[in-house]
Amino acid sequence: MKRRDFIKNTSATLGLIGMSNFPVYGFNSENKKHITVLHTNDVHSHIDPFPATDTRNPNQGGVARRKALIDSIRNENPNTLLLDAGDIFQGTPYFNFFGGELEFKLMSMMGYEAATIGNHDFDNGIDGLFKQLPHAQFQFVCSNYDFKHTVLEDSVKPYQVFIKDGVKIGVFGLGIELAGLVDKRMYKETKYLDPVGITQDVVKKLKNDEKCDLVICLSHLGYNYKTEKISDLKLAGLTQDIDLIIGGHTHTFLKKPTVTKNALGKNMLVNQVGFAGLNLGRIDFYLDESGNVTTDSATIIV
Amino acid sequence: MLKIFTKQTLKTLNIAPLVALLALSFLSCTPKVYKINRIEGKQIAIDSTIAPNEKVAQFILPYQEKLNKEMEVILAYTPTTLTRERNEPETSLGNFVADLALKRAQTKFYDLTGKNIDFVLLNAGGLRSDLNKGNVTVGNAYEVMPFENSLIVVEIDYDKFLELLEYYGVSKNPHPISHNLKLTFKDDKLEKYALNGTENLKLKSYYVLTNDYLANGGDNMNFFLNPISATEINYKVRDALLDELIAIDTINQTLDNRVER
Repeated sequence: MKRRDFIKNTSATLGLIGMSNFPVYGFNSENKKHITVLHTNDVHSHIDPFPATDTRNPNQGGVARRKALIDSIRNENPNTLLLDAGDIFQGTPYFNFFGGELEFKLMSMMGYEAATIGNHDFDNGIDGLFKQLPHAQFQFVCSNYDFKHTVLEDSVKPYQVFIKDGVKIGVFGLGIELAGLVDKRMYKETKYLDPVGITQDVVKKLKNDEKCDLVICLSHLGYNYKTEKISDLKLAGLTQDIDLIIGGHTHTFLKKPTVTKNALGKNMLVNQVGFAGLNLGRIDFYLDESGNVTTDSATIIV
Repeated sequence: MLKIFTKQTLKTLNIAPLVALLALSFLSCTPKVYKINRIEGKQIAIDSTIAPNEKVAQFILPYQEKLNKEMEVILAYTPTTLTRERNEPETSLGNFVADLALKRAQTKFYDLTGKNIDFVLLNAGGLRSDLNKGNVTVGNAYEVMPFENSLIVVEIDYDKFLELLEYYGVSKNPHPISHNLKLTFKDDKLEKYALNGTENLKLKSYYVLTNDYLANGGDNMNFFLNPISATEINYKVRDALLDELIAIDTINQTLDNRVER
């Protein structure tokens, strides 16, 4: 499968990348690194492609295709990280009948490495989620849900550090406020904590203690709201040292990833790719040994 | 890691002694720190141009077959076809769904608020298939209602209620309403309405059961926006339909002239 086939729908952004035809550096150098981050959100149990008769997304999506696409990108760059921003569950009869088992098994086959928890992942209760965890060969991360005194207490980590080609990548998760959105009987003793305060603490830890070169937030807060409600864009502007926020919940289709500024005025990315596995987000980070980078802000091409 | 570094550099530069020395010095060094130079971002559509991975497709197959069997489970029987015919003032399928939504959501809403739902308004477009005469299966329920929309009770004032009636008259669509609301239009204009048998009943506010798509202004039902209150009852329209089909043996739904034009 040729790479061109996959990028046909991104012609608007393709121009710059295609024309400039960057020399592919980094693969053979210890100083230069290339990390690819692939991501989905709100897949909502969509295993099969939408039927050809579907009025909105005919013959789009599908896990078997997603797996093929992921494999081809991994062939191109083995230093690839695959993430999901939550709401894996609920949306097709597959979830109603198998309780999320198939979703987790397929994500494991695709090689997902971390996911955060969406509100719909509580749809069979916290016990229903816990029951399916043995099928998930990837780590759940969420730093602002306090799972003390729940079955998830030892299963969900606030963050996970991945090392790809010597580059340390910290991935932490954020969940949406559950009260009013999910029945309390479903999430039980789970406590929602303020995402902004938690983010500041976690990011400090990832930067100072874990010495991460890249910090990625897997968020199910939602892209943006007209109200004061905390969102990915708000979080971005209120915090620092996050390089990429991968969002979910609002099923937002973006023409391209959003470049926004953090609390220090530094450029960063917020991305979300709709829902139902219709798209795969792809963010490529090109890094250089710290001493070789003179400027403080990276060039962002979207 | 160190090994690779040495090998590759040896091959390309042939400055072995220096590299070996460097490599040694790295052993005592702290790990390298990397900084981002450039970021590229995009999204890739997953569509028919991508050939599916065969292993995954095979893995899904038994689940798919089992699921198809589950979808064939018969829940109820309908002696007539319930239609969603767009050219009529009301439809049998619309009436059926609106009435069962009212029945099934009422107790949930009462438990949450201590109030009663006044009436139901859904959208004709939310019903995606007729319910054909004969056995009704789980799969049929999914065909009628493939969307994941949940029921929500929106409280609107009298002015918004009048907007709702005006919208209904002009739209000409047989948007499902519950049996306890009766609407009479002439030339798309409201002639009269009756709520729970009382003609032109004027309330301070009306509790309308609808779905979250419409409550957010879908189908231009803007009278639902900025309501006095909105109560999510965490109950999907399809789940209400499935629960009703499980509860009854035979569907007994007729047209009852709840909307006249």
